[in-house]
Amino acid sequence: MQHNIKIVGVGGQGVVTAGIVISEAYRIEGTNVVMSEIHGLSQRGGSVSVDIRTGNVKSPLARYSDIDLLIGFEPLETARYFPVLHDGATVLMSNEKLPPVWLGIRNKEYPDLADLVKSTSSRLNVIEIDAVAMAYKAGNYKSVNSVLLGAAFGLGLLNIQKANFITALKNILGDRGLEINLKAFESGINYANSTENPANQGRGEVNKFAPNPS
Amino acid sequence: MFSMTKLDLLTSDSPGSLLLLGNEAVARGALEAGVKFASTYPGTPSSEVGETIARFSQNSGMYFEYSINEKLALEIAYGASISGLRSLVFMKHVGLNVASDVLNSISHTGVNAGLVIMTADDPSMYSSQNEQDNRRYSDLAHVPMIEPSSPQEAKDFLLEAFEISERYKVPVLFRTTTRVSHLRGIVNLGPIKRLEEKGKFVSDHSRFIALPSNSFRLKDELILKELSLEKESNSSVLNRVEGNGKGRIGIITSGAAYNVTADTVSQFDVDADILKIGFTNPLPTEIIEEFISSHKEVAISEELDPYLETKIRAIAQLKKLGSRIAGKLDGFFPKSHEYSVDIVVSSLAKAFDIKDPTTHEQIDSELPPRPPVLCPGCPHRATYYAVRRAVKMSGKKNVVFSSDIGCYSLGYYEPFEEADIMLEMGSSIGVGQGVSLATGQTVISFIGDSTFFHSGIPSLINAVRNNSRLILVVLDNRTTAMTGQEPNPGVPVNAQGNPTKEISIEAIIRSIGISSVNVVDPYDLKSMIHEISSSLREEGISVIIARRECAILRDREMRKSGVAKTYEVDLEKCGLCYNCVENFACPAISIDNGKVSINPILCDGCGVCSESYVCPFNAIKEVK
Ligand code: SF4
Ligand code: SF4
Repeated sequence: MQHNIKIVGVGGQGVVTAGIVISEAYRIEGTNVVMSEIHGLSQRGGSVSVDIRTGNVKSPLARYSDIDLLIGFEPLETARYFPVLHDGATVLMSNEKLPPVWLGIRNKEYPDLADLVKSTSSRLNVIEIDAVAMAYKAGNYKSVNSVLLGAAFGLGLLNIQKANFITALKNILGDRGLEINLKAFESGINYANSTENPANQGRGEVNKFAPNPS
Repeated sequence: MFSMTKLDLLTSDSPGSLLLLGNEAVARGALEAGVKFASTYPGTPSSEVGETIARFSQNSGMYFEYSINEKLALEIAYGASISGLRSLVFMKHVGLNVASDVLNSISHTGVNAGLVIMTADDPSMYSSQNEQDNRRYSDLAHVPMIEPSSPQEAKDFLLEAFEISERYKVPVLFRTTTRVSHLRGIVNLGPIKRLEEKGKFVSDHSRFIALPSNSFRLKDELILKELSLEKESNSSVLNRVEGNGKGRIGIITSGAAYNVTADTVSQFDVDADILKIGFTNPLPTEIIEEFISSHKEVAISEELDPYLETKIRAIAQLKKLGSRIAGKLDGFFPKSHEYSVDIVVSSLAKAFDIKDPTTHEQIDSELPPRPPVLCPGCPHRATYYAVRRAVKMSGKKNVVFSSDIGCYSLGYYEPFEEADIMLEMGSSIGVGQGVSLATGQTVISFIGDSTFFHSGIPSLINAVRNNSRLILVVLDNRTTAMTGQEPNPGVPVNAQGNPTKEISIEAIIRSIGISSVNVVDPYDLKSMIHEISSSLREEGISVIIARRECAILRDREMRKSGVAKTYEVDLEKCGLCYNCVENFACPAISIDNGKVSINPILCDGCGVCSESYVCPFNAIKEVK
């Protein structure tokens, strides 16, 4: 089935790696998958976005307002892309704030996104997660992408078997730091199933593979 | 930048499938095609081909080098091809401008073993200074051209490109775009071909001496080759029709445009058949004639120039085909930038009176943007900061900043804004020279180490010969950083990481008669500001080589050795002047509730912010 995923964040956070792991997992599943990675001019610190589509598609770019799932590594970058999701779609958002230098140059502070998130929640399922704290707990900051992948999997947002997901993590991340990443992945799953997760507090049913309204 | 596929899998001879980036698929294709010789000058979106080949070339018996520039890369590969080795050259679209002198001559002489030239175009300019359609080069040089749409095709079509090159003894242009080179997808592998490793050059003056008498005849031979190649195109598996042939519209497309066109047709149930062309020069005229004849209405969906369209309209005219053809020339499809499903569906809607289902919304612009930035710890930040300070201190007005292509192009952005002119590889010196001669204004040119070797040297010689007044800052970060940290002649290692001769930038510059050459560590702001200040007082040409390894390379080293420094702000001492955020702008430093803080994850530990030139209150300290 067709599934449109977007992963966004800041260069250096592991956004592209997360996209590759998901795509590799779909390959192992036997599902057709295409992914596009555009990283602009900066090596680190710029906006990064990855597009993944599965099913009977050729181009990795979904139509505007056709994204089913947005995984955000940084709140501002995530909020930027709220409009590209269709109604009822899901946002999984790490709360690690990385203020762009654009703000500092103007002596401005990071914007308060609470109202935006709140107003968006009537249209989208926004799930915030303290992925960085969980990554540290698992062993190091670098495993933050595995936490987010675990949470996305645990929430049932990806049509992938757990064993295949784990094989994908192994294939892509290699042996170095694998143990930490697997731990981080599990902690993401645990979070998804825990009561801390707003989705489990009746604040809204998470719309698994939110079908495309169009 | 992201070659992730594990080497043993990528080079394995057992069948199976892998998730590959388009560029990785090209590298794998090189193995399957029996390529023995590869060369490039790195350029996005083609860089990962080299990055991948560099990892396996040594163990696969393939010669691979990062050449000084694209012209060299093509000449070297041509030399190998006429000596009997299959050769692959790859570059970004503008790289082919540099190599076009070679291309337009070797098209005449022809080749021996297969020679494939990959050009990676960048519609929408994700990482380029211009948008250009390199399919035009295949007409200019009269060479065949192949265009894949997916990673699978990038690999499979490359094999076919080598066969064609060898069969017709002609170089083949292999054209991708960003959305093909940077598309990741599933690729079924084929067997690896093992060919002879040593070439042998056999002299043939009638071909390899491009004197007018030979070229006169060779041009006619080339035109004859083109005719046979057209037959080849007509029977090629690279061109195919999709659909039942009874669609209301016939759509002709190629490359990345095919992907969005096919998705448009399936997503909107468009009553259409698609002719997908993979062999785009010479075009398969018979297939096209038949396709047009069987559709009353035809659309041509291609990115950038009306390349297919002009030729297809000519075919329709020559063959007196009555179908209506819609494309760019009649204003239905856009002539610039990459296509999307939304663009294709609304172009088709306009052309064929279908209701346009698109809304053309834009993403929210209320939120603060995140323009590209130099990395934390980047030596260029320190250089730009120092230059800005020195220029300000000098009181000089109307200083012109002439910048160039590389990571340091980002010096254009706030808060440095040290770029008034930026054009193409090596242009900072040449254009700066013109401005200086024309105006007498002080010109500061910036050039990276790799760009200096690529095309800066002749410009500097020209400046010396013509008594120009110029301050040149060589931003020597000991790598080709922007495309993925490839080594350049200024460092003592080659593509494979093996030791090789290091070429001294300062020795070259001194040897052409420039005496004011100073090598400075940009992290040392005091010396940097001092050197630039004295250059601003000098006449003639003065050169400052700001030498400090790229922060990403240094990080790799530090990760290996396990030492990682970070800095923090002593809030007791901080005078809240905000100079560090407003004027130095390291991404690790930000303002949080009025206080300045350093993010320990982002901080690279360069310590430059702790110098009194950045923090006058000495409030920034290393975390012990
Ligand atoms: S430069 Fe020093 S004193 Fe000024 S805001 Fe930054 S840390 Fe504080
Ligand atoms: S030491 Fe200062 S300038 Fe260097 S990376 Fe850390 S915060 Fe940025």
